[in-house]
Amino acid sequence: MSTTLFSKRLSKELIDLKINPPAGIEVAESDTFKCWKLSLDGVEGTLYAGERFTLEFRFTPNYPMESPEVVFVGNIPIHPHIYSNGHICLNVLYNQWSPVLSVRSVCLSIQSMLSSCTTKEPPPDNNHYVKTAKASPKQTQWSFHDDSV
Amino acid sequence: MEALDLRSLLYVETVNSNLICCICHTPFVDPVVIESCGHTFCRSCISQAITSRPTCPVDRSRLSDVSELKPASKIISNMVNELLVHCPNNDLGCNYQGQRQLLNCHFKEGCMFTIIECCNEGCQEAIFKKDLTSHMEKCRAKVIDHEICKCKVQLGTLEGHCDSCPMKHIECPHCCTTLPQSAIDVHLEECPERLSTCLYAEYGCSWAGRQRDLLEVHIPSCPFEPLKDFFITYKQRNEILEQDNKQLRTTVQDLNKTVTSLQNQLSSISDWLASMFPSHFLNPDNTITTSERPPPLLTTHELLLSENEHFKNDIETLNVNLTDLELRQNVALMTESLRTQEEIQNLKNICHSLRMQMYYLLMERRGDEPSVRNVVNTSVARSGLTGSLVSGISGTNGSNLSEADVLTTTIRPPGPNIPSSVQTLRKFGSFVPDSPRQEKL
Ligand SMILES: [Zn+2]
Ligand SMILES: [Zn+2]
Ligand SMILES: [Zn+2]
Ligand SMILES: [Zn+2]
Ligand SMILES: [Zn+2]
Ligand SMILES: [Zn+2]
Ligand SMILES: [Zn+2]
Repeated sequence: MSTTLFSKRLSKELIDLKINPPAGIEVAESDTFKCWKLSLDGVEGTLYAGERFTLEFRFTPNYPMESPEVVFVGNIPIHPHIYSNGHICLNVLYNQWSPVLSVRSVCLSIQSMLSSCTTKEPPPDNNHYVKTAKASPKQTQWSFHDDSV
Repeated sequence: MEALDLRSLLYVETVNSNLICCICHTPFVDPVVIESCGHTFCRSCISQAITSRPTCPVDRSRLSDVSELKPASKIISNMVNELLVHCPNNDLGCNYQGQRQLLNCHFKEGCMFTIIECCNEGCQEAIFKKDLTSHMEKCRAKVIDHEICKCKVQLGTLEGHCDSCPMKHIECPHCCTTLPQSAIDVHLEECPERLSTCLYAEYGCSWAGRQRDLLEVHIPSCPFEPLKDFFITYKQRNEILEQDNKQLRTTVQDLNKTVTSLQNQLSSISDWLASMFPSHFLNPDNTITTSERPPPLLTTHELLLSENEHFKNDIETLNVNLTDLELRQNVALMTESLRTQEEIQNLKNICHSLRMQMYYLLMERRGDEPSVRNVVNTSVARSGLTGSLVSGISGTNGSNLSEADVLTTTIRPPGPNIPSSVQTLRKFGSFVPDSPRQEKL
């Protein structure tokens, strides 16, 4: 039952993203229901204008009940909530996930997180985190101090 | 037939977004509402979601119990139930469109594009429900009654059955009566019109004729008939003899086997003996075939003689080799001693030169003391070896001195700048190759 929900929901999301893509977001790779790659363009008039980043989504068969694993790959944006290994400190990806969220809404949240940035600098604990972090950001014990961003 | 999954349906028209569940993104199936906040979901979607997190997925308000889920209002469930949908067999060709609540009825009973299996045993062909009647007419697994034998036959095997049907009628080739196939074999045996030979054909009667004439006409007049009893005993004897013959043949075979195994044993024993007493079995083939073989003692004698001869030859060769080696050794020794003598001569020369150098120095010191002493002192300071040399030379006897005297004048005339004795030594070292003895060689 959950596997049919998983694949039906993802195919619906994919069709929706392809037919009606949000501004600056594009599906780059979606060969399987395990891993997708989406390109994310920096919004004009923000610090990231003209830059293009790639987000990698990894789904478990429990999606959408369980959150997808979302990281930046390749060119990693310099941002106080994004670590240089691509991990993103964003509560909806972890403890604040809800099955009503989708790939589209996650992309839009990350895009707005980038757009609202005022200084391009890495997180203060970047070096320590990158050294100690596990491969999946979902294994990190996140504490979210700044819910506004 | 699998249950209909309402979540994978294709809707005829775009559905109002208010009727879409935000977990599965399809129109609600069995909608339920969270009482406290009023959000609506499919029953299965929300029950699955609250097992991992007991909150409303939309506003995250806490949800203490499943009992807080109430069926959505009648109007909502009616709206989703009345949505027009396509039949799931749409891609197979079914054009049915209808209300979602009626679809189950169509899919289970009415849809002609449902795939079913032919129920005839041995067919199991997958066919559309609409094709069932036409398939049934020609299904090869359908069972029918054969009109002739009234037995049950599958349509696909009917042709083969007609040929072998036991009730099929065949005409006897001899008497032209038609009989069912099952009875023909018995009839052929006893058909009166069948061509037959005499009962005693194997003993030589050449009569041939119809079966019905055999017993009534021929046998009473057959010349072999009176010999009937003799034939029977003759046949019995023959059989007994054949039996005996067979038994004898097997006995012979067994004996042959025994002989072969005995031969093998014999050869292995003689092999063993040959390895134990090699001189007696030098040539096993010869010992058996030739009667005039030489007595073994003589052979041993000859062997010893030839071996002796071998040893002699070996010793001779060794002797020659030894002489050769001695010669070479002598030559090598001579050359080596010659070289050593030369070396000694050279060393002697050097010694003479040194001695005379020393002598010369001493002479000069006697004549011009202060300047020469200076030179000697510095050289003594430089090397302790020189000091001992000087003292050694001062104690040499008169004859050596005179000899050195002569040589000094010839080789090295005195000069104003005399180098230190160390330098002198080095120079003499380099003189050595120029010595007259070496030039001669
Ligand atoms: Zn709610
Ligand atoms: Zn749902
Ligand atoms: Zn249908
Ligand atoms: Zn059939
Ligand atoms: Zn029949
Ligand atoms: Zn007949
Ligand atoms: Zn006869």
